[in-house]
Amino acid sequence: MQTTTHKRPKRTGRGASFIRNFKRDWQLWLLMLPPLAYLLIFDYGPMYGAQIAFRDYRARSGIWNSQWVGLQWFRKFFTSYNFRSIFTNTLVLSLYSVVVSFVLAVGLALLLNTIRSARFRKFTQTITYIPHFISVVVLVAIVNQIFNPVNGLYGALFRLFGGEGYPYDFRGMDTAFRHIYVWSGVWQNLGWDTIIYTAALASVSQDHHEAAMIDGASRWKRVIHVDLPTILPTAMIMLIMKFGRVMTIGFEKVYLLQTRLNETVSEVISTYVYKVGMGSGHAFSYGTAIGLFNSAVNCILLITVNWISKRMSDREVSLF
Amino acid sequence: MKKKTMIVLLLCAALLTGMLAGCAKTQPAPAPTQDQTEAKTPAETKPEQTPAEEQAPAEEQTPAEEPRLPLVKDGESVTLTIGVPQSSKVEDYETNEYTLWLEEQTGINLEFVYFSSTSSEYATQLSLMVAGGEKLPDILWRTLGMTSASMYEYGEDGYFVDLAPYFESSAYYWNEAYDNITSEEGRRQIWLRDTDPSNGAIYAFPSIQVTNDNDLVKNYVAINTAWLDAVGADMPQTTQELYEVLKKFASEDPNGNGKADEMPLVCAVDVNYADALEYIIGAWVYVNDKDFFNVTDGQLWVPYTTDEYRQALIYLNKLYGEGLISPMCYTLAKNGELKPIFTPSEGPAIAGVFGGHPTLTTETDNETVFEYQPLPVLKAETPLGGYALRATPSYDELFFSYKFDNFITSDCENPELAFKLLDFMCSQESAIFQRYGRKGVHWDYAKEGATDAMGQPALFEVLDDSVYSGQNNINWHNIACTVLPYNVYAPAYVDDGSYSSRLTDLKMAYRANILSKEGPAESANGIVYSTEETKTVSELASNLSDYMEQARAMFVTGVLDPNSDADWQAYLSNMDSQGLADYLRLAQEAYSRMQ
Repeated sequence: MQTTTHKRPKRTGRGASFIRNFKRDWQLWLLMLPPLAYLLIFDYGPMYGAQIAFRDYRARSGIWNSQWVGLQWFRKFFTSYNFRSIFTNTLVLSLYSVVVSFVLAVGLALLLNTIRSARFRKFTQTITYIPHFISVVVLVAIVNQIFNPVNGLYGALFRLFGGEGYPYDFRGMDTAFRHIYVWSGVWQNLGWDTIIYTAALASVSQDHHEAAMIDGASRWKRVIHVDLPTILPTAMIMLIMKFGRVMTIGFEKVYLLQTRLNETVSEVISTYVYKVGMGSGHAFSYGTAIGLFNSAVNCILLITVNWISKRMSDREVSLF
Repeated sequence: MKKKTMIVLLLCAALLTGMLAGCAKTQPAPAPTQDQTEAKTPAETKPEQTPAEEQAPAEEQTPAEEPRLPLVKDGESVTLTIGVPQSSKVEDYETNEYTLWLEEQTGINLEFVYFSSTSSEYATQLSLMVAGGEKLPDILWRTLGMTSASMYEYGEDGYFVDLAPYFESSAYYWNEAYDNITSEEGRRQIWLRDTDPSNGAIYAFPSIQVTNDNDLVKNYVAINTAWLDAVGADMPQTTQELYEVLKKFASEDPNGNGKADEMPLVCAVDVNYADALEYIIGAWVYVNDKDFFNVTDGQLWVPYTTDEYRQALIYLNKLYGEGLISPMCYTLAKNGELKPIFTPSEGPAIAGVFGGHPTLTTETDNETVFEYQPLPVLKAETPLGGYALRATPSYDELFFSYKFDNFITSDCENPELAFKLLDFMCSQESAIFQRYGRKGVHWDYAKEGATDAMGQPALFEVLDDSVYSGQNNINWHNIACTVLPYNVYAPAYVDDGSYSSRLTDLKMAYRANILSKEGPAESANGIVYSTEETKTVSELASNLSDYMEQARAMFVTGVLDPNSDADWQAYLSNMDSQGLADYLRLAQEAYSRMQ
């Protein structure tokens, strides 16, 4: 609050109106209490534990009494022989999967929107999003079963079309790992991801379409010039939100799909943290340090994408 | 504007919380109680003086008397919680017949806390419980191969109770079983490793098994003899002969169904007992991934950086390149996935040389398994090779395995009673019950003159082996903590041509095969490190063996070329940069101390 020597301090502007509002609508403000408490207790509260990244944590001594070691763990991670490959693997895998799933989801939503029969559209939508409810563990089991060269569908098809013996085992191929990971994800989540876009498309005014039709716009032109611009802000927000989770997505799936032969591309930060931090080594501090680094990278990515989106779009679409 | 900053903060917060799972409150662990400390004899406090003789409970002058059952006073109701690994074969521990029998005999009410059935997950769950300050179960049962490093660490941090005094005062059935273990060297090894070198405490109630076939072999590798006949080849004895046989398997349609569906060599390098490639490497140089080091005249050395090892990789690389080794060796992850390959449910056999446990990877009552015979230990290609691969040293031609995997935690209010329960589980009837089922129904004491598969007098005979494997709610499938001396392990054997007796014959063939060649004279099995060393060592060990195994896979499958000096040098320098020299030095120091 600004005060001057000449006038008496006076509640003006935003401060005053805020208090007035609060007094008037305190019941509404009260509604914010549970989520606020949730954030404080479950999100901010545990954050004090992040300091073990800078300590040599031992359960017996507890967080505050463990020895302070500064940046030792970070240095160790940065100088470890596989740092570069783990970091690249994480980035490549995340970006690949975000980009593919984003583009396809928008595409599918636009396609669905052009279906004339409402029944057929609903049906297609349901079929495509049902796999979303399969647990990742089951999904990986299905993938493993299908790609089994001996008694899987893949092996059977290979022999059906005249192959001799057994086809190459994709599950052990380092070059195949990323594609299996991303495209099985597409199969599972594509339908689900389109829901929000479909909802946004429902708000496209029919007037615009009619006007475009009178101007002689083809169906394709209408999708590009009417539908797409309408859902673009939603899509950008969704993209930014996807980037909020980009470094952590799919830990279980990566971990479950790992084999010794694809480890060179499938070892990502989250699986590595699990192995060093929670595995037999139980090096909590080291694991936390890597996790903290992971989050920092994620934060940078998120802010960058948000900034780009703000700059690129005319309407300044951004999350914050 | 403010709203935006707020959202930034919230989002950052949500991101940051992801990695906070590992942090938690401290758990003040109770110091050892007064009477526990006093109960120690002078011998206990001087572990550096040959702990074997002085601490082995069997040597004590005043053995405990046979405990009066039930273990609790009449009308008293005591509950003990037990952490057990989940088992797909035990329907429900709470209502399991063995559990009920145990409760009835001891008068203790048992409750269960479930852990994962894989050792690394079990370790994770336990370390999270400790880090999270959760109450531990009274007894931790079968922690599935906890490393000595973690064992000493938990013990010294006060999470495990020192059992040394109880072994003196309360062990009865334990002593009885332990006296039946004939190997002096084996007994020495147990106490040497169970005793924390820094304070002489004993944290683990060991599980010991003395067996004749099962697990004597580190890697079960079999060859299809029907196929050998079909292609007119003799049993391969050298790596060259093996190569030629595999070539024929690949091209001559040995299973005779007109399809090229044969896999000349298939195994699973990541499954216990199933790594056939390691078995073949043994022809050049003895390698035992679990030990990491080899020993000659008291000096440790690393086989993975030798020229002999490189030659073995060149050989495997050639086989892989020619399609003789199935890529599935690296993707099969469970015994269950090996079953349809070893014993297809329909059609002829599809595997030539196969790595996998003869019973764990076999469909029940499948006849294909009898087409196979053990692949001979291949003749030495170099002076360092030609050894039979054994999991750990064996004594008196019996396999001797022990694990330190049963603990009483400091959260237990009545450690003495918990100890007595563990002790009772070592009794003969309990030991057989938890493997075979009810006495008089599934097994009974054998008649005079009955012998086992090795021709030794048998203590008991199996009446009905239906509950021995497969899911049921009667026994615990050998996970109950017990000492299994050989007489309690091996049932009477009758050669009646039944499926189970033929399977026993097959297992005995593996045994004869592995015993036909000497193992290395010394092994670096189970080196005991000091508490300071353990932390460094366990990290070095896991990094190095992970990398070594990954590099081996890359060399074999041709991602790296073992013929290329550049690739080989890069591998050597990566091993170095991960502290191979430090690991070797620490291990050598610890090994020398133990001699």
